[in-house]
Amino acid sequence: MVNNNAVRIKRELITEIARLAFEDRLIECVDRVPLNRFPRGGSSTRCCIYKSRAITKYRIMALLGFRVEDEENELKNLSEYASEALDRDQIDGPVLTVIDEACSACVRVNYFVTNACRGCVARPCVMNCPRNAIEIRDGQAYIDPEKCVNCGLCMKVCPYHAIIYVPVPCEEACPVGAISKDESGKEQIDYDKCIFCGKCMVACPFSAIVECSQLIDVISHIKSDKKVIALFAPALVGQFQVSMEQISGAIMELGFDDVYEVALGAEITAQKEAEEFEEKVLQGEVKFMTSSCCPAYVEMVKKQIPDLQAFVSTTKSPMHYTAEMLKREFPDAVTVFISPCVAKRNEALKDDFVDYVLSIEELGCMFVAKGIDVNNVEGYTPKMQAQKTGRGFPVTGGVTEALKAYLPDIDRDKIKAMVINGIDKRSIALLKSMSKGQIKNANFVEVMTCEGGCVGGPAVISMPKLAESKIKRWLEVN
Amino acid sequence: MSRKINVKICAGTNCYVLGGADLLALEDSLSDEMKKYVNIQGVTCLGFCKDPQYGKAPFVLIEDELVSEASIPEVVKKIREYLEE
Repeated sequence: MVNNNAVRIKRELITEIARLAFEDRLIECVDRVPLNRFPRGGSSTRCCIYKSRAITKYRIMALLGFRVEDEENELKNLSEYASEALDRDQIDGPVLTVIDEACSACVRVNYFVTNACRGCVARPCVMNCPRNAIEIRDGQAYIDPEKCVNCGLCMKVCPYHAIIYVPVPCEEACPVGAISKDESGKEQIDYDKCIFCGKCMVACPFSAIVECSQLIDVISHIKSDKKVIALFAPALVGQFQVSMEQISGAIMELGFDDVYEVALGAEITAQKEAEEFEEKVLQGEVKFMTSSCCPAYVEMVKKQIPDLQAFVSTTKSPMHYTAEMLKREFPDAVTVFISPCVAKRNEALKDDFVDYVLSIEELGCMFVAKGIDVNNVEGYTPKMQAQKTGRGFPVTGGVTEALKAYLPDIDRDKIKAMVINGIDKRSIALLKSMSKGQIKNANFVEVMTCEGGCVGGPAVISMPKLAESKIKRWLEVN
Repeated sequence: MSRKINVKICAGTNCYVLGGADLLALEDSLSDEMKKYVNIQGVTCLGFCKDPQYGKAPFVLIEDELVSEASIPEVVKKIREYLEE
């Protein structure tokens, strides 16, 4: 994750709220947090401390699990939200919310005349604009945002390269066009299209898009008498510089009652998917099959490419199988999945066996909140060790490797895999053409929404390349 | 320069989560020339995070100088300053 001030602010806040929740001081102290972060006489990165305080309040609302769009009463205190959070059973979706006050409503149109403009006599910008959107004001060209249709011709014809393309970061990042401006220029998410990949959240330089968190739900349950089990995605092992046992030990220090690897469920997914592949593709009539473990991809097929559904594996995700196994054995336990992903929380809200999802980033902040150092804790070995096949899932190509391992020997060479490493507009176009049955040289498609696989997810702490090497070393040990 | 400059990056969890994870790529930001004179190591929690007078995490010690809220560009700049002496 590229570290920048926005990420830092986010983590400082998660840490602060987690600390208050652990210390039972949430209701008492939460309203002071925005004030403490922006005290009178202090400075702010925005117009004034009051705006910063207001935005901080909205961030905390989202951390408490509430959607900014649902705010009805601006005078409702954070302590009231906190109270509700402590009493509830579950949050409401959708799990991504836009803090409109934080959105700078960057640009209305993407083309902008810089002061490199020489106010030339030729004026090719004015002459070529198909909408007469450019006029000369005080000797410089000016693009009228009301008329401009973003064709980009003016930029092409300017002899001084004085016209530039200014992106809207969240809109550029979104692979499915689910985020766009409302009448006032503020961004809003269209949930009929949103796949919860979290790319907009990562891209926004104002951190205006945030997750609705289940932090409070998890901490409340940890502090209660209930048995709370952490199930971690294998991607977690790439996130810290210590062994899986050390990380598990740190999770136990937080107060969880037990820790399990979701790589166990990944083995089940791979096994079932291999059987399905045998039956449908090798022995059957279907031309190809795609993976189904990436929840943002599954959501995308549902919302954007329904014709592709017939080719998507019906196998459930590793998280699902692991949680199902645990709920069977411990019906009264609370299951918490630890994930590099936002889309997993969306999947979990609809899954009967997973109660809550904590992002890896949130987990790291919880360690900080409780003063836990992963280097110093007593290691803990999870019961039931998973195998390499399951543990390889978080790196692109891992799912395919696992599938191959579970195919019968004679059929292993018959799988021809195509890997889509990160979804963008191009790969979506490719997937759409595949939904019509057009596919070359492949009968299995592994789709990872995030580049690099889950280690490149939106809520990670470690740099993806480092996480990938750590995971590869972990696979070698076993 | 006969002696190498010691750069210690705190690998405690507090520093790590608040930006330390990115400091692990420090070596990639050094020129081959600079790398010869620098010894980078990760060290366990130095304890600076416990006392607000030291500033905010992540912490890096360059020789005896403490850099708080360290970033790669800042650390590289400091290393360069030491090398020029």
